[in-house]
Amino acid sequence: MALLNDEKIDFEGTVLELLEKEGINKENIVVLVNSEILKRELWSERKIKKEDYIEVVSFVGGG
Amino acid sequence: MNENILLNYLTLKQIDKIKNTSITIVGCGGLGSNISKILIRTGFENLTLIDFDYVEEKNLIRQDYCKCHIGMLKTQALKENLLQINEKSNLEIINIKINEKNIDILKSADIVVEAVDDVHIKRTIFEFCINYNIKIVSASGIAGFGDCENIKIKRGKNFSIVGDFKKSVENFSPLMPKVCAVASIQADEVLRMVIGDEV
Repeated sequence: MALLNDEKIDFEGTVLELLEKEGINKENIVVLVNSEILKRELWSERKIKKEDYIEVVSFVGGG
Repeated sequence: MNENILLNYLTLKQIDKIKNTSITIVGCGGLGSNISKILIRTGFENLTLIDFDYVEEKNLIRQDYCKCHIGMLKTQALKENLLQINEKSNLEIINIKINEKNIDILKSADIVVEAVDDVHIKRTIFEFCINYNIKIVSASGIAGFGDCENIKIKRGKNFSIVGDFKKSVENFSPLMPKVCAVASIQADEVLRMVIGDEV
């Protein structure tokens, strides 16, 4: 089973579809698949595999 | 600064690597002013400092400036400070606000340190560096106090992101202790990228 931010998920589809299903605001996030960046333009192509570890990292303001 | 002092703590090879790495620091506020000071003290000599803003009195609560700098460009004030630590530093200053149109100037860096306020620009800088295979150390979530145990480091090929990933300056106050904690970790991540393979 794949993991999304340490929670098990049973999902078939692309990363973009997963983000939309989870209601995640896509504006200021970075998606890591198995600890590597998945470029934004690939979100709609990359299918989620059983063993994937997906992390959604949010950018918040402040510097 | 006498580089022989660093030889007590680092090898000559490590010091050479540090000296020959070009770091571009985008944003000279709470994070950037403190990160650049740490990097200079750690032996980095080639820094490019980017900011568009001027030092104001309100900045003194967390940014590494003094009353004498009020009214100066932050880049210029920071350059003065850093030269006080190491007069041999090669410091380039660029007085612009980074955006999609001028972001190409980051291409010359070995490592980019993202230290800006604006969340949209953060993402823009991060994605630009990833697309061009430029190493980047970024920050997300520096505000609040009393919860530094929530600061995390997300690492992967060519990137580190430091912060609690939650507390933005829109909702929490950016106070020096936590801002400085994140700044220190960002500087440490730079060091890791440069000499980490030798530890």
